[in-house]
Amino acid sequence: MTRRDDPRRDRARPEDTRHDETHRESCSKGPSVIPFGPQHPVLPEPLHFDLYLEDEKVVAAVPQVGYIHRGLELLVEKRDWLDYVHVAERICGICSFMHGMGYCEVVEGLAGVEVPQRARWLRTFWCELERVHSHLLWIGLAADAMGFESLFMAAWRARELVLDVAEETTGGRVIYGSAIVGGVSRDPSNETIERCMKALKPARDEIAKLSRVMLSNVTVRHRLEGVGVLTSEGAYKLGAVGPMLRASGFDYDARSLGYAAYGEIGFETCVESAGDCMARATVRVREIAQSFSILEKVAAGIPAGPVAVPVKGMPPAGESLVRLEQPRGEVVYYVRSDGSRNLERFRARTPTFANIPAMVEALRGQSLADVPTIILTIDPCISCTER
Amino acid sequence: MALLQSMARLVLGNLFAGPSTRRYPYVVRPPIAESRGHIAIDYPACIHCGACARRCPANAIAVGKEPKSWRIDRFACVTCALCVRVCPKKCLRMEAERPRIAAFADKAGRVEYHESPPAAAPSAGGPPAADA
Repeated sequence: MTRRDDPRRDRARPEDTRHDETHRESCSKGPSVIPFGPQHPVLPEPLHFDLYLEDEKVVAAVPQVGYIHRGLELLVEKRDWLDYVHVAERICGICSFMHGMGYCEVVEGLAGVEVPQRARWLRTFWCELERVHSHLLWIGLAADAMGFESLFMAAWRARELVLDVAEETTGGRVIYGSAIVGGVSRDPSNETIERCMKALKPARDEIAKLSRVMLSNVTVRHRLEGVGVLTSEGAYKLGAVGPMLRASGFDYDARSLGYAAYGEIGFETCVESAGDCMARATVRVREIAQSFSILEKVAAGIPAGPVAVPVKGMPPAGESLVRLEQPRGEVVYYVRSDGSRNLERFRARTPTFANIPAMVEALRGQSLADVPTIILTIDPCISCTER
Repeated sequence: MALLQSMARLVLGNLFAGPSTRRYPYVVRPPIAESRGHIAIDYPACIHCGACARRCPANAIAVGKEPKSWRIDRFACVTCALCVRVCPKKCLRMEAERPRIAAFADKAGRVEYHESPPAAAPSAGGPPAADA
């Protein structure tokens, strides 16, 4: 029996209570609805969209999250406040060090801990290493979504060299585990850092070549230019963060707040004005080169000294808030303590969560074929979003 | 034209560069010395204080007081090395290589050390005897 003859095919589907109104409406006259995800070839993580289409044009997109919620924030009530950093690191598999470090920074703010200078420089080093490998991962995923397989492979080959350096300095490839409250747990010698910078040289050259190919390739330009445009005003109003915001011509990078060692090292924000997918890709590619130059500055000027101060006892009562710049954008951490053994509340507002409204806006009016590239150019990280 | 040249150089380079991948598990990369591979214990030095078990974020370590024993679930362990940092006798350490599943004492990935009977106590840091 073919599928067409299957009597089950016409059987009435159970009422979908969630989209009751919209569903009935769309059946009667309006746009057709196409479910996108949670399982989709371009999505590395589960995210669901109901795409409302008129012909090939998206008129509305309704996102739905909640497939991989793990309740990590609640664990702060059960775990020792100093050990929770290992849980915080596992919020995400890509920006893991920054989550661990963000937790450390916010708790250090609560307890009034002064982090030694060398530890702050090392944190900067690992942050930038993470930004490089996260953006390379993104180039690979975006290339894969466009069908540019060789760029995908080449980007991930270069990423492997970066991961090796991470392993040599921290002991882990993606979960560094080197941030602790009061400093860092690992102290790679200056010679090790020098050696790592030499090991990164081939990756840097390879990436320079790749980014030239990527940004000037006819097919890539055709897929990305003028697609998913987000105006500067729209990006600001919808609360977009990170490369999404900077690609729309808005000059804001949380690193300019000067946490870790960014205040001493200094850097320039990468801003593009077009607001389309190409601009978002360009911002990320430029940020890779910029991260390498920050890494070089760290290797050249890292001060000597201790890497951690001992922190003991119970957290003091109060609350604290910290903002950092992750590869995907600005992240906000908040903790509150009532002075008891465990913290009362920990909250992470992650960049993808902030970017979803802007993404929905960017999807409006676009053709169905461009939806995967638009979703990928915000670099969604659903593990972060749902925690 | 410049684009063609740069792309052509990449393609030609890739043609003669050989594969970037290894034929794992037949070819295994030698571990980086600083790598966090797995936890090892110098069991005779252990005082069974249980600090590692209490602080373990994954609850992978179990310490028995009576009879005295130390057990790790390698599949639950996230190799964060917190136990290594908190051990008062410094008898825990991080080994660089990642153990193969075949090396585990049983299929659940548990590796156990017992103080008594003495015959079953394995030598320092070595793989456990057939008591697990």
